[in-house]
Amino acid sequence: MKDLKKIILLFTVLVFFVQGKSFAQGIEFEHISLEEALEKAKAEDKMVFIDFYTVWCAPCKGMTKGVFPNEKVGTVYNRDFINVKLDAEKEGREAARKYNVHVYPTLMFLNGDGEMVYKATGAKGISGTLQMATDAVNALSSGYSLSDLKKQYESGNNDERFLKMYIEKMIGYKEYPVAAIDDWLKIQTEIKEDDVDMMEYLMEHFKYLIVGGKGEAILYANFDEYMDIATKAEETKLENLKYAIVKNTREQAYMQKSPELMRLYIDTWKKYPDDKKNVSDLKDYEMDYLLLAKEYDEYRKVATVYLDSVMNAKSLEQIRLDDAAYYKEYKETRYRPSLMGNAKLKELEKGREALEQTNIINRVARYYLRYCAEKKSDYKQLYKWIDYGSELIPDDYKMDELRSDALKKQGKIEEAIEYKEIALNKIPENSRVRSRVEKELEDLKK
Amino acid sequence: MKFIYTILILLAVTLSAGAQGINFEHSSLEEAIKKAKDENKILFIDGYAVWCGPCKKMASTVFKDEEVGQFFDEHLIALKVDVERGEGPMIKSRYGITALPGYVFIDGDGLVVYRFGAYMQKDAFMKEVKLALEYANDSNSVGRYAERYVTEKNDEKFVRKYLDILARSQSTNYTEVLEHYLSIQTTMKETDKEMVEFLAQHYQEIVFGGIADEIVQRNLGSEIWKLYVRKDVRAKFQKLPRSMVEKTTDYAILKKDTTILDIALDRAVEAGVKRSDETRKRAYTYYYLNAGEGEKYKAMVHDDIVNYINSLNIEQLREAYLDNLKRREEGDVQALATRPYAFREAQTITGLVNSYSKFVVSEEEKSEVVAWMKTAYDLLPGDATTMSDYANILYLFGNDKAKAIEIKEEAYEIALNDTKDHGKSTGILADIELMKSGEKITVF
Repeated sequence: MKDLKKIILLFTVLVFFVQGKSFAQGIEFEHISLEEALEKAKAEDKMVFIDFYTVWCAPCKGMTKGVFPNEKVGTVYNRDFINVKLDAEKEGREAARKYNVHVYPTLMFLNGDGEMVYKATGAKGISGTLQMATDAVNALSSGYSLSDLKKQYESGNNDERFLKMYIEKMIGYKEYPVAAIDDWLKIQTEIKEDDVDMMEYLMEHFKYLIVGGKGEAILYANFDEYMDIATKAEETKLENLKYAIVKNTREQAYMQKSPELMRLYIDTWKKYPDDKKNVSDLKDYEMDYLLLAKEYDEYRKVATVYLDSVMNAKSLEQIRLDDAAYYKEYKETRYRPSLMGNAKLKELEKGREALEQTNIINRVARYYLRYCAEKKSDYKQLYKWIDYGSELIPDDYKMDELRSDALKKQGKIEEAIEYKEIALNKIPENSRVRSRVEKELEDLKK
Repeated sequence: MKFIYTILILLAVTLSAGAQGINFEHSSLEEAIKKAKDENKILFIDGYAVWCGPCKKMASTVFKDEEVGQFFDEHLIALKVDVERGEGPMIKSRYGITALPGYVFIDGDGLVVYRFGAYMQKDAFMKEVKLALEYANDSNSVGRYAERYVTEKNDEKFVRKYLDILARSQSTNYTEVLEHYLSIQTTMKETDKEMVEFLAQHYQEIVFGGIADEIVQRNLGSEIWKLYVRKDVRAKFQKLPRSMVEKTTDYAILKKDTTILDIALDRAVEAGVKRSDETRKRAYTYYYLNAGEGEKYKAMVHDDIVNYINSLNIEQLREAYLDNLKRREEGDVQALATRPYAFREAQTITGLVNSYSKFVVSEEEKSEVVAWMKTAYDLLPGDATTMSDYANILYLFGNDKAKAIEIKEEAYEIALNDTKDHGKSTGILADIELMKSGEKITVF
């Protein structure tokens, strides 16, 4: 046993040594701001490589440990790029917003003017990371960098061949070329609309078709013919495609911040022939529509009615009783020990309905705070909801955070700090929101 | 110990005699065929493995059914074959049992009449059985056609009929007949609907480099084929690229021809598989193993196995495994949800050793495989499967057969206490019987 410990110790030291050694030869990330990096890149005629990460993102850690320290990777990246790491929730928050980064890690290459040349998302291995460098350099030298392509498209290039290339490149960059696909489908001369190739094209590009688009029109016009070609599996895919088009419209409404698309989604969804659809969800989308359309006065009215009705629907005691009964029933009949199962059980411990209500209040009241809270009476209303929410699950941090944010907006910084600290104390050590809240607390104290 | 076996065997005998259902013969294949001929019946072979769940479900439901039993008594001789033991492996390959449970019907001349497989409900099963009997009686059996094919292979109509029957009886490995037919047939044009449907029907037999392949390459995606490649036919053509890679590899093994394997590799790259030395090596390893080219196989994998085993930190893996066991006993849910790495490594070693052991000749090689397998045994102390696998290798290649049997018996005891047995104990028990009577055992 003692020997074993020795071996383990030796092994750990060895690993540490090997890693420590190779780290020195891996990518050397510069501890400078993005602006400084861009200046430096311009001066040295290089590109900037950014690793957008967050502290809670496991694949990011994987790359930091396993890929960036690699000697080959280091040689290439140190030669061709100015390398920076940005925590998208801390110092990199502004940059992440500017370049529309929502997925981690996002690996991005910018030219000296800060224009996006190339990007990839999700962890890459060593060969993938080397390939990425080659692709980025090629994209720049071929004149088909991400921003070049976008500029060309936006300046109205609607050549059939350009559009097709643009679409596939954008999909490769994990962008959503919804409008470009629509443009291409309208003018393309390559595929007959009733042909099996068109059926395959639509199925392959199902993520990018929306209500009212050319893709939808082609699908409905040729649906019977497609069903006559489709295999069993494809029959289901084609049926699902109709549904996907509706759902995509909603996603695009959020992505493009478009009230028109949200309206289109809601109207279509109301008429959509499906008994499984949850009509109560529509209420949330109606409210999101108001936000997208910037109809804040209307939002204030609807939110007030909605949250008051949530508060008055059931007594707290009743919610506790119902939640306890549900928890017991779940634990005894449906619970199976597994990582997911345990997590779900832990959630339910807080109370199913209590949690649901907390989330509704948090979401609706948060928008209310941001867009509607002006007068003193508005705040009074808001604190009424927060008081109620705090009673629902006393050890949940969300209401304390919301209260802190409201106090901050009112200029009551001392109290805001107090509640931010209370919230932070309630957040478990391993939670992914922790680093964000820590940062916000830090900013408040300044 | 012996006492327990006796009771178990007694129990098993009484149970089967008391139950109504299919009466399976306790005889060799040859005897069963003879009995079928003498009684003018058809032989039904149930190919199973001890670990196969659907096989067991079939054995405990449909095969136990009274009505099924009566029908079988009247028309069939039934033989249960463990495809991993005794005559099993030979029967499996001779009659082309590719999935389990696999059922084969054989006439008194030892010719295949029909085959099907999988767990199914009684009605579906009986429908297939009756179909088999029908085919057996109308002189159109696959076996009879196979005999006639030798002399009548230039009769286009005959070969087409033969192909229909091959497909109907769910036969495999008839690529040669298919290719031969395409080379002599005069009734179908490439652009005919009939050709499209014909190729779809036999898609699983199409290999790279053959006539069928050429026709598909020339026409798939053409305007005229688009009219016919729809629905189920389309589904089959979608499966074709993958099926062809597998089939061509098997065909290369059958023909013992590496140039065919190279074609398969090249075309796999065209179909989107990454070209790498790794892929190539894997394909060749598989080829040498299955084509029985032992020396080449060993030369190709020997150093990899040694390097792989040397790379393992046995102590650390074992400690993690033992720790997991301990925590499981304490009811640690996280431990219950994780599977220690030692299992994966031990499985890999077992797989490598079992394949390698097919070609072990010299004393040096014998002690080498025993040492390799010992590593797996050391990784998972107290794991019935690994103990049993180690005992097999020890029995086949070690110097101490008594020790092998001892470990095997220990594994049996452990397997008996395992609530999630999955037929493990039955298999181990069967092996012990073989070992005790000094017979050969088979490893996979």
